[in-house]
Amino acid sequence: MMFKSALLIFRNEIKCELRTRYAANSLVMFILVTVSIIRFAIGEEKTENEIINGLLWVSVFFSNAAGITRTFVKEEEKETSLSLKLSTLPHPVFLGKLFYNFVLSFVVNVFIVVLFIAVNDLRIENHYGFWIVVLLGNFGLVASSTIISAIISKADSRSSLYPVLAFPVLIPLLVSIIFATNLACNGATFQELIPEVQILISYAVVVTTASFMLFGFVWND
Amino acid sequence: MSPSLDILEMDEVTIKVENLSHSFNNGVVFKNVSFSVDKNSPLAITGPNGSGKSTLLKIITGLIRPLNGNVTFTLKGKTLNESDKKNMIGLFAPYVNLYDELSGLENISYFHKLRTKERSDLQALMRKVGLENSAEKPFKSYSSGMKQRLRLAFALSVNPLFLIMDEPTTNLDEEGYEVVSSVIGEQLSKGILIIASNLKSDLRHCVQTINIGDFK
Amino acid sequence: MRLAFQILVFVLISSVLVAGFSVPIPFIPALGEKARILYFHVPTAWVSVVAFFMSMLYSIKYLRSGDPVTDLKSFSANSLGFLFCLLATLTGALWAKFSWGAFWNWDPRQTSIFILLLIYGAYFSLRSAINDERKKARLSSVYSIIAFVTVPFFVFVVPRIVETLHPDPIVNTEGKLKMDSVMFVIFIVSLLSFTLLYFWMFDLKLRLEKLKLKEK
Repeated sequence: MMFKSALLIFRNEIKCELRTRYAANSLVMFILVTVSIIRFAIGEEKTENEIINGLLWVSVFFSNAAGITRTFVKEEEKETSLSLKLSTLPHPVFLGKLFYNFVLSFVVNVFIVVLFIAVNDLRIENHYGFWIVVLLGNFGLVASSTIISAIISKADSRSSLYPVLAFPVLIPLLVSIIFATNLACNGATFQELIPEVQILISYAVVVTTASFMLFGFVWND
Repeated sequence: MSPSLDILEMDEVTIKVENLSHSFNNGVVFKNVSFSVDKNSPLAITGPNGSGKSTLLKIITGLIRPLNGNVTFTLKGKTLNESDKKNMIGLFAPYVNLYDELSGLENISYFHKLRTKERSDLQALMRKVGLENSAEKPFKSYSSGMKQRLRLAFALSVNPLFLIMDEPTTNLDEEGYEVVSSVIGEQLSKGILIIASNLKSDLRHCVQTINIGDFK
Repeated sequence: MRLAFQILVFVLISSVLVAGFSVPIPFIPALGEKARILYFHVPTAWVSVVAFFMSMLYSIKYLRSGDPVTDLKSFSANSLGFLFCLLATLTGALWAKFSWGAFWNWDPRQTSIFILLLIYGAYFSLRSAINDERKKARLSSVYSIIAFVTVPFFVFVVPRIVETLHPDPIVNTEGKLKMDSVMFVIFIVSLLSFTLLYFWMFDLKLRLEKLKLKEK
């Protein structure tokens, strides 16, 4: 029953999103602006690939901040959280929103990477390795962001709380992702990426488990 | 999971509230509220605006955890757990909002599927609350009266044994008021009814009354 | 009893301060007298980690019990942990200047303590963004625990990726201590005294917070 409910919630999120097109409009604009600003900042300078990759992940962090926090904040603002609470237990809500955030985040991240390749001259040698790192890293990224945005949605003043809370928690993940993607950009083989991949997977498992267990305390008043 | 209602004994469903106390930062909302409700004794909760009626209802329906005290729902002697309650309690209140982007029917259908595996004639439900013509329109386009009617549909969609209403006739016109009246009448033979309101007309059928002001 | 404890801590800390600066230390290349900072840097870093761990345990306890005093304990531990973390960062920066020539160079160990500082800061920001006491306690406890589970990653994992200049990291790969015996004694006493000092301050802070709570 839990997974069925989670699936229902996931599909509902997608439905609402397709109707409001929030992500399609605001997020896309946000990403385009970010990528452009970086393009102008770099200018004609020949820049190290490592730096461009680093800037990529900075853009990812802030774009995710803009996109992922919506799922919970919207429920609190529109006060639909009460109807949801009356209808189902906390765990399906967490899973449904987590899954939605994952899909949203992955689409956003792929979009950003593609833009960086096209516009900001990001050079990748080992594509398979790079994309696997992006996929696996996404799990951890979304797990942390989801629980933190749930926490923030309950606070009275939310504006700048997300970066403050999320950054320390995400640093290990970001460091690993950046390091691993740099390796992949420079042509490291998949074998060489395995230690980082292990870190990404364990981070995702640990944070998702902890969030799942703690979500009830955040969601229930 | 709503069993055949005809075969229910008179005191088979109860809500028991024991020593409920709650406070927010600005002070105590109420202290040591205790009462019991069954099919024979629909309850009215009265009190001035802002006195804590809605808070009490939110605690009873499990939306807020109280500082102290218990709320126990029983069906045929068995205490209901959180999961059971989702498809047996209907809360009809102006602060229960639905999704702006979904249509009236989509909203009801979505929450219905979350709450119960049973199939229900939701079209009929929309007719009952007088929204059959606007069922396909998005919730955000509804007038405040229509929104209130949809909230009623939301509460009724699981055929609740425990129907709890907070200011039920808010925003309703005469027709809406009739619908609420008939729903109240039906609930009296189906299960438990709790109404929080200050309007005598809302509380006509209630047998016991609690005034929040007595529990400060 | 409390007085005896306080006197003990006073004596210990004073002796550490005196001995730390006066007892001759053997020749340490490139550092010389400046190595004395070891007596203060490591204990403060150690205490900030102990405090963090304690606050996480109290957070878990609070979520299970709902007792507001447990949350105060978590808050007090965090407050002191923050203070000691700040001291550890500053003394660490001094040591960095002595050994490596720069106050800060984003060495993984330095970065780790900085991240711990950020986590503490985030905890306090979150608390100040919530007005309701129970919500504040609940949400900051959850954050405390989430932050804690990510700590092993940057303590053990990050330094494995990037080479660190930091001497003998916490998980000592060689398993041996290469300190002169006199220095070692002073060092251990310092570690003990700072830990006891922390507990003294924790007790004070907790009592203060309890009084503040009573006042409300």
